Amino acid sequence: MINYDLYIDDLMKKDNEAFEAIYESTRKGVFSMILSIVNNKAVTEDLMQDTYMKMIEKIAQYKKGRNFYAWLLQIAKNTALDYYRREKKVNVYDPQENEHLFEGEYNDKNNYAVYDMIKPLDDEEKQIVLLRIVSDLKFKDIAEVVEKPIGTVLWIYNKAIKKLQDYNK
Amino acid sequence: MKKKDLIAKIRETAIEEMPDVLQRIDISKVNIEDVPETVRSPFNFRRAVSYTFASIFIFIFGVTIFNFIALGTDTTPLDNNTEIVGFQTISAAALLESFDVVDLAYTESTYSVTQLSETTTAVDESTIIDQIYLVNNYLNMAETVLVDENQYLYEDIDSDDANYQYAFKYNGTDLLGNLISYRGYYNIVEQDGNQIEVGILIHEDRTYNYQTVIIDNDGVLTYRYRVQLNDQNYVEVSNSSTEEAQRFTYRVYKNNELFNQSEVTLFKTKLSLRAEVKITNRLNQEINLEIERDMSVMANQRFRVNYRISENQTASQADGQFTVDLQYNDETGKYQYRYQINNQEVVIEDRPAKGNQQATEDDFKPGRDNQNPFVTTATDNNTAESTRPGGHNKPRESEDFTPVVESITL
Repeated sequence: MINYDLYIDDLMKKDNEAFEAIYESTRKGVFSMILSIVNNKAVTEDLMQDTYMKMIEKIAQYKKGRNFYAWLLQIAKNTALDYYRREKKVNVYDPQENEHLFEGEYNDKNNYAVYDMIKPLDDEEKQIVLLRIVSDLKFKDIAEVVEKPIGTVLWIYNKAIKKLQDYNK
Repeated sequence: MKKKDLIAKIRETAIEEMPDVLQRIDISKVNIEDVPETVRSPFNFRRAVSYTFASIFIFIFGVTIFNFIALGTDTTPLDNNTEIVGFQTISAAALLESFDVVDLAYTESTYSVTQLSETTTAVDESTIIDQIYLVNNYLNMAETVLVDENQYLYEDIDSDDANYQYAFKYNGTDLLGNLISYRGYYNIVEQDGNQIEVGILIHEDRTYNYQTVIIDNDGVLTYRYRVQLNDQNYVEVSNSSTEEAQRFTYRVYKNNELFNQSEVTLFKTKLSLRAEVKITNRLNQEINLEIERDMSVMANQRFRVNYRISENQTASQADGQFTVDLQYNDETGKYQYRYQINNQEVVIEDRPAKGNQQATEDDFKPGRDNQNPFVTTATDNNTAESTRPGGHNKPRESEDFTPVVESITL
């Protein structure tokens, strides 16, 4: 994993090379986070674009020494959640706290095949599994993003993999 | 499908479908927000005074209402997952240390019984005294982890041991008001396709190995922590909490055989943390303890315990109450648990050594002093102010108190 703090000053100057390096290194994580909440290709692409735009907008508020990747993934999560508040006009809650609000399937045909593979998981499990498998995030970083202790994250991950094994028999 | 293949397939599918939106983003058109400034309004003395009085009134009113409302019991006293996970490993280690110090075999010579008066009572204390050893293991655990909410701290910290990637700490208070400190270090490893924690727990001069154990019961995964003296003697703890109760199940193994099993349920009443302990021994007797810790005098705390003993879930064989505090033994220079059960006093030898530095408020604030306290070189700077035998049973004579701090190399 790259040292993101080395790129912050260049991002403040809107340097394209720095931005591309950050983008390539983080897009799996951003995609995983948004996919755990949204199962629609067109919307996911828009939300990924919005996430990176917001990252630049708020770059002056980021303090070096913090976990940049976790900070960016929080922006991705909030962007996806804001989408529902804006488009669905219902009260939307963080998947960590209120799983039941995300149970409904979307009728949009433009869905991801990978989402179907992880269908039996609740939203918290989806988030942890995707962040681990797709973006290779360390459990320590996942724990920081989902705001749970590592032991709990490991337990959720192991339980989720077991569930997927049974589903994909 | 094998786990490895499943994981590979999910990863491959996701990466294949992952969109590339780089060309859609033109960062030159983005306005970078300034860091918001803190706006200070000019100081208004009259407003400040009125706010102060209003705040005091609201505070007093709020505390009164809170105390009125908070007469009930909080059945989920551990506030977050860090505490729930930490409680399991620390309590298991505390349970194990009492077995470590004293032989797991029951021997009469390690406790003494004193008749306090000639008065005879209808209550037969012999039943509970027969179980005193087993009970004492759980009181030792309670001394470590059953404390008021302002007297303990579980915290994830950065590891200062190159052998381990992760670390956590626990600070608590013993019955003398001294600081109890544990450090945990662990790595995450893959075992049988599962990710588990493997590490060590350090307390004073004792180090225990611990790891997570995953039990698969017909597709239902159960997660346990195993804290070990060695391969044959260990404690396993699992979280059997419900939404209504925080409950943990302990299995104590000696020579790889189940020695006893227990269930501990936690409650909080106002600021006091209490526990209900249900122990099943090898004779299939059930020993129920309701333990409450009295911390009103920090240097001389005690446990009040209601107990009930029954056999095969039948009617109670014996029930009653007793109190437990610490007594200093001049000959050994150690503290012992002293039980007062009706008109008998029972003293248990060899209480496992805990801290010897008085706990301060800072010890229970997160983000402070995360250095491992068990790898510093000892000095003889301990004075009567910083170390004390403590307790009303031992007068403060600093000349005959020897600090227990040692130099430990990991």
